[in-house]
Amino acid sequence: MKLREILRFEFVYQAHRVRTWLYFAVLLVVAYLLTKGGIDSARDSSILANSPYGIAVTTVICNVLWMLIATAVAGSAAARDVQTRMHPLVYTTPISKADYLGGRFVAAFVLNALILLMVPAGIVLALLMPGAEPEILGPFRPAAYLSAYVVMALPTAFAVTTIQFSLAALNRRAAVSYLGSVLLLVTVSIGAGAVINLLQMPTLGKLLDPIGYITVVGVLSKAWTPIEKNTFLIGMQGSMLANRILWIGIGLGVLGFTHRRFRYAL
Amino acid sequence: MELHIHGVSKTYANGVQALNDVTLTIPAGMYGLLGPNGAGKSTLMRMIATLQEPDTGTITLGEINVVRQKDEVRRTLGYLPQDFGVYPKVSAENLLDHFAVLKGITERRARKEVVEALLRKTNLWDVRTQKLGGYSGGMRQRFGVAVALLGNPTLMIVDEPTAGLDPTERVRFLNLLSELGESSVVLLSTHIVEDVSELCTRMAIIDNGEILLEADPLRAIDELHGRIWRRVISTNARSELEREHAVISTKLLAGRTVVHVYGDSPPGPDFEPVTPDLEDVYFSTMAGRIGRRRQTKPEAKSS
Repeated sequence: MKLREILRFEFVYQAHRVRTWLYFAVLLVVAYLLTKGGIDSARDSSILANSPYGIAVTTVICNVLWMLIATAVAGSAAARDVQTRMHPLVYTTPISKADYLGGRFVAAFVLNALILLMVPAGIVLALLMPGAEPEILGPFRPAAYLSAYVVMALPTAFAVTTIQFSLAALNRRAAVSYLGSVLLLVTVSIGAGAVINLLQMPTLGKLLDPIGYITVVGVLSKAWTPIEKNTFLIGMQGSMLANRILWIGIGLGVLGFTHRRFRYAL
Repeated sequence: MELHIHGVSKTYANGVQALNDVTLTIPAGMYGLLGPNGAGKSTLMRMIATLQEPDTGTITLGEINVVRQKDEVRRTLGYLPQDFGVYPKVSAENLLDHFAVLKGITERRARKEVVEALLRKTNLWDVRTQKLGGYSGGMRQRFGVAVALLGNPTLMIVDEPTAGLDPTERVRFLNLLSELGESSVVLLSTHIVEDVSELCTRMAIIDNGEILLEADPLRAIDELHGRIWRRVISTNARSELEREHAVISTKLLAGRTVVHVYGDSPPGPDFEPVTPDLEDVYFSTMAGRIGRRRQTKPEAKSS
């Protein structure tokens, strides 16, 4: 009951911020524009404008963007009480640390998941608009959107939200979640690049990428033929599934760590 | 229900000793904790409110061990911190409703009634839909009172509640508190003597982390009877007077300096007896004429 109330209140609070709606708008517009660009290049190639591969590329690019702009969702859910100095009032109510952190985290995660739904929405919108001729469109395949969202976007949202949330909660500052996002992006892309190119361990390198960007944009763009790009669903490959499971696991670990280290006191 | 504080000490990481072997018994009713700023009042209040832990010593509320059974305490606690904020972009009504759920008032209709009653009681009903960010200091303070009163606490901790209030707000606030004091333990910390003299049936004076006096205010005043003397002097005569007499306080009154002196007999022909008040109790204690500082006084003075 209390967890649900904490979740509800946090969700409603953020839903009333202009900032939140800006995130929705930006992702919708960027996914729309990327798809519009894809329609143009589809005319000169044999890759369909709505190929599962194209949908996956748009998804991972938008995930990088989301990771950098929407950090305040997790950050403020985790640190707003301390930053507004309301925490002496909250921390003297009879709620458990698990309810408190859990409610706040789930609210942030659900909100981020909804924000990322703007990516398939933007893609579909661009395809429905006049300008995409039937010749460059394959059949409408819900599974392509579903796999991009469920396999690519959601585990990323989970892992990244836990890291942003944890950093903000433990440092008691919402802005730290932005720093965390940038650091995560920089270190992981440099790290994964180094593992792949210097150590010649591509399997490990691809595992280290929290978004799946390296696999989708870097590896598969060369490895897959146009026909494969038009038909294969991203995320059903073993290495990609392993990557997703690893990052969900990391997310769970970060949540456990946060619960242990969080000071529910002044 | 009684609150027992026994042998509580706390030293902060920076070496400041905030509390030194504090022992107090606080019965139901209004209890005043009086002391200057930095005396350790807020530290003690935060400990009782489960937000900090003592280095040594025990705090018990009835059967509850306050340090270990924090959740039990929180079920029955109302806490108004000295310094707190609120979410700026939410209405008083919505935030109070949220706190009501956190405090365990889960049934919707009961909660609606409680929230409405408290908003009326704290005079916020007409502004309940306003965002808290637009509230004045006094309004925010009253919102804090409403939060603290949720769920009829049997232990109420109010830390320097009157500091930022104008006179009207202060009276309204003290009235709210006194209602509660009939059934619960209400612990009020303040540096304003009037807060204690108007409200409290028991009091303690704290300074430098030590309890200097634990008393019934009226009895303490009674015991000073015939021991406080007053003289109006010019300002530059003050230091000379302080050398010769046990001056406990000097005050300005209409541009003149009024000195209160402690003494079992009249200190001199220019002095007139005063009917003591709680301020005299406070200053006599701080000056080491009565209470626990009395024994250690000579050494402290000679240095």
